[in-house]
Amino acid sequence: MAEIRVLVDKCTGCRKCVPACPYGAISMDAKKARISDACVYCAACVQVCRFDAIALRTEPAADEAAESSGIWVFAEQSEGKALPVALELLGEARALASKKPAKISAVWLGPPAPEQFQNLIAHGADEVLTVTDERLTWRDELLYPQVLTRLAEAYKPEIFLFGATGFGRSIAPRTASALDTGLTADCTRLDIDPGNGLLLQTRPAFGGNLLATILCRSRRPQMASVRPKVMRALPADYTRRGSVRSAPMDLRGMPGLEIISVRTDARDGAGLESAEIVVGVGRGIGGARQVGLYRQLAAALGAGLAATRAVVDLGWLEYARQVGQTGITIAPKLYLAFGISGSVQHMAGLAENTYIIAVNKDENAPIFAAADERVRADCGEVADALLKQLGGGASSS
Amino acid sequence: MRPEPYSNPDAIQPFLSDESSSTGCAEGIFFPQNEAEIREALRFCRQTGAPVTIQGARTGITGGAVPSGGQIINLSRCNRALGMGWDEPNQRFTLTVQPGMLFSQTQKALAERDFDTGGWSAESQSVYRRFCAGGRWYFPADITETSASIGGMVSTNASGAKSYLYGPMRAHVLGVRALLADGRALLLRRGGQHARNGCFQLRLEDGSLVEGMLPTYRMPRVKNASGYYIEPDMDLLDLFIGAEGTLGVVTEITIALAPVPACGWGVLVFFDDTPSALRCVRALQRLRAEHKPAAIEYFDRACLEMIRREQSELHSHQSLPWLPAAEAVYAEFHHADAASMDAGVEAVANLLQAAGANLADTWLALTSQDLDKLIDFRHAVPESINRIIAERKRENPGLTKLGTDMAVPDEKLEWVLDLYSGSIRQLELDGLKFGHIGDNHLHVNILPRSAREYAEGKALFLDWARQIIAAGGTVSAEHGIGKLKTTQLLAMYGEQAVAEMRALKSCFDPLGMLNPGNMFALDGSV
Amino acid sequence: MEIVVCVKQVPASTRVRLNPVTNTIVREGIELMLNPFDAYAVEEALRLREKAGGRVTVLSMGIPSAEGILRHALGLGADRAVLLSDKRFAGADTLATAYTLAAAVRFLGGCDLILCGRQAVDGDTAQVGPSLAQKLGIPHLSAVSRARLLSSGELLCEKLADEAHLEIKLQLPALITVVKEINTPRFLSLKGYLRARGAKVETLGADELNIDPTRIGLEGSATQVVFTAAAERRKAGKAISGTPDEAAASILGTLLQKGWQRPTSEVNRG
Repeated sequence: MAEIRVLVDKCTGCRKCVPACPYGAISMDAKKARISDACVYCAACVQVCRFDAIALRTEPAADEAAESSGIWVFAEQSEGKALPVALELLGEARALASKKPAKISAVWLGPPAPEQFQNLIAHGADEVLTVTDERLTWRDELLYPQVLTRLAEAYKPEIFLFGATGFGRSIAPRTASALDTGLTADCTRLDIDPGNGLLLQTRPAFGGNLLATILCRSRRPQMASVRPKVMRALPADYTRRGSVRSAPMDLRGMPGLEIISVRTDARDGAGLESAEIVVGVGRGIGGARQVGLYRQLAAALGAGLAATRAVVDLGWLEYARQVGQTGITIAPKLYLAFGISGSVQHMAGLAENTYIIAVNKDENAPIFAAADERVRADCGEVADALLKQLGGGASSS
Repeated sequence: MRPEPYSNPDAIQPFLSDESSSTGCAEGIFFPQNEAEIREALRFCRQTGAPVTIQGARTGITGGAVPSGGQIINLSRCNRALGMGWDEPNQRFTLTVQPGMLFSQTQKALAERDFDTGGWSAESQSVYRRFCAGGRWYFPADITETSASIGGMVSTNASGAKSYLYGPMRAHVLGVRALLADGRALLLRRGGQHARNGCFQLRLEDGSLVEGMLPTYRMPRVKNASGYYIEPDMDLLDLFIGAEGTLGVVTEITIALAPVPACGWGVLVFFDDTPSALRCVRALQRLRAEHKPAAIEYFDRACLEMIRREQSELHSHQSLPWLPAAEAVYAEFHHADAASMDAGVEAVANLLQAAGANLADTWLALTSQDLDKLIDFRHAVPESINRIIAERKRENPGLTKLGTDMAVPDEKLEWVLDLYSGSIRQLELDGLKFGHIGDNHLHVNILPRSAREYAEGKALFLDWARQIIAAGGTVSAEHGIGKLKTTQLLAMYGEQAVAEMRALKSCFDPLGMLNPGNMFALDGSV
Repeated sequence: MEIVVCVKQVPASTRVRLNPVTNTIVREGIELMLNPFDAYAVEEALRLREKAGGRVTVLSMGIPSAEGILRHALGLGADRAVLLSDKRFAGADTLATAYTLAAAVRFLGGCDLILCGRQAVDGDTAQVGPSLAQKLGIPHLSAVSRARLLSSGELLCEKLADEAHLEIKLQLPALITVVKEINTPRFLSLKGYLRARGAKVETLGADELNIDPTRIGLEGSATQVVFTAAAERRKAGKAISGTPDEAAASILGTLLQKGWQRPTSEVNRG
């Protein structure tokens, strides 16, 4: 059983732990910190205490670590082609392997596709492990986890990475649950602990106000998912050598979903994934009636139009445009942010090297600390001026 | 600040208008950062004989900040807090700010306990430390447009939905420092100097006096923002609140703070017809003391229809369920703790049921998430109106929104709602009624679709004003007179009263330099 | 039809007690609320019951104050509310949570359909639903944007998969996680609130459920949070001052200087 204790001899009553607890579980009693039953062992207070006065103790569990090896990357495919996120994860796997040597296997479920396999190897896989069956052509979130579970039980990888696509976010937890192991979703950083060799999985939490690093100490594989465009693929090296191994598996008896119809959409109707310039709007633009101005500006710049979660929640723009931890990640060259406060949740949706120009009336907006250029002004006035100078004509009111 | 004003037309242009639909003209503009610079600017204007318009954040809608020639003194750079105090008898903190500090800026700094205390006195710093260490405090005034300046709020005695409980700006001002047109300073504290039997002798900082007679008119017994606040034995501080900048330039304001209420909740109640809605409004208005609502607001059938149309056609307001085809009353309540909130919700439910409301036809907001949704609905009404007007303006550039701001005495509420509905229906105009029904104060907006409807609307408003004045009401309950409602002020109080107002102004500003055209024309014209 | 909705109480992430823009009061103390996505799940459950009849049970694993959100769900129209509360459940990651919820569903006698909100705003992202379905051995469908009960007893669902709209027929019993597009949740009414005041929230602890104590709570978790810190900020860049026109000119200057041309072709109709 877990246990958390305040070491009263070490506690100086500095109260730093009280506001650090997201659950309000800490109060002061006779100048010493006291932790109530509302505690969920998130360790935020442990981190913040400068006097090591809070001790969190956990029981060690059985150690599966010894038997497992290798880094697996789920090579999600669509219509027989590997998704870019798979290549990004292979790049990350190579980075991890440089810190702790491991064989990297790309796991492919779907139709046979030799060229794709070569491409996976060129992007960092040492091996492509495949299960090819007609039933796997369609990404079936009931069938895939069963196949992946059998594979993992048979080959015992140490690490298993998934792209956090809609599909990945459905099959990864089901697979983790079947394997009785841990999964950390939407990691923004992965690393290897130099001391114990564990996978360090870092992600924003609590709506983006905090960062958490998660460990999966004793269960295997250590599973993590990463959103597209967060990691970077290595340039393809077609001289790389690798093997393709087909895993035999009988899928009869494995239930799947009954798909009635499929209607393919135009890819990425919002024009954000590929846009070089993106105009982002936040709650600070003032209201739904202001959106038209920014639409025009985006059109005049040839830019995509994105929104924060607040704007989408208010119904000013549709969810397809939501950039952030619970939306999409984009990697434009330039992000023009209007009326966006810059919560970590939103900023997590922007690639590291995006050039950010932020326009906001509030000089204390957090985005100013992350922006390359900051403009403290009324968004509407600047957008209007931009539009005029671009020759966009009169703005809508 | 440089001794001369900026006179480049491009620099001045953005400052020639406020949120009313009018634009003015000016020769130059000053952006002082403190009282000394304001005094310098005033001196320049005096020397050049120029009239001067004082501006805060220009969020007013009656043209009060629109210049009619001369110079502009824009106070947006006077936007710092100057100190904090502790009001021992009333056990509350006080805050002194420059006039250009915004209301939202003030609330944010209080909420985050984050002030730039550079230059504050040692005593202020000590009070500030106490403030930071203690509970949560805020500024309990309320306005709809939170980007207004504190100085502007003083000038117009601004109010909002929650002024129903907490009072208009007047209730929260503890003191004001001002400069007269001739540069003399005066400091007025609440309870400091009074008029006597309609005469006043105001002592200025340098010991000199400004004296004269107060106007003899009586203000109507309603929520009122028309003309000077006058009572025979009044606290002279009240002269400067709601004076629309005509008596002096306010350079510092001391406001009273209050502890943030521990919890709040709101409910939107739907009704099939106006009499049912009014029955519940009456019941809510009878609540007093600790049960008194923080706000009671009304939205007529046309308002809900308009939002509903936007939900289905524009897919906006998606966070709200479909609005029913009905009229609605919104009431909000604040409590000191969860237990009294629970008791309060139950008590109000019983009250509404007894007054005939259908409790299943309500939207109850107990969490801040849900309260935010109801706020979005309430703000959506004026926003949608503006959007529709913008569209209609594209077809017909001369058109603009028409809105009223009139309030009536308690017993006339049913009558005035009938008056509004009847006229709109008879003329087949596109009109909506919404607002602070708790204070018997509704805004009627007419959205003209043609020049004819525009003219009809304007004429209708004059007719309403005549009837409402006769019934003991006011032409402006909240927005003030500015330059756009001077005729209505005249109609409301009569020529003699307006002449007395002119005379009062000339005691303070004999040259008629400050904000000429606000409230009344200086030369007796209209 | 027996419907179970899994709901979670999460902290409101805002720390400001007064919203300066809307000038509204926020409840004092750490505000705890119903996970926003779960409101859509509750609403969908109520709508399915309205069409097909049956019973809606809301289930939550949490601290005692989570009773508040369960009572809220009862006020909205749920028939039964069950709170799993026990010190030994604390510290559970999604694996342990799924295990505990599965035990509760079995304890309650199983059901035809389980609904979950797609994800919780305070940490996990969309994991509990699929994990729970796995533990119960039932199919799941995630990110459902429309659900219709057919006369055959199957659930016809629509979902937006990564690039396609799929229509899928689910055999019950099954679990679905829902997205915001599925409906607009109703408000609590005064009538519902009063009714829920007197209603009972059943509380179950570890002893009532038939469970393996090593698989619950922190001990039963495969993952642990070991370090929590505020996110790093990048270094502040350049401040652009001046009038809006000057700022706009500067921005355009940056665009030209960096070679991000203004477009001639390929105007994106954002």
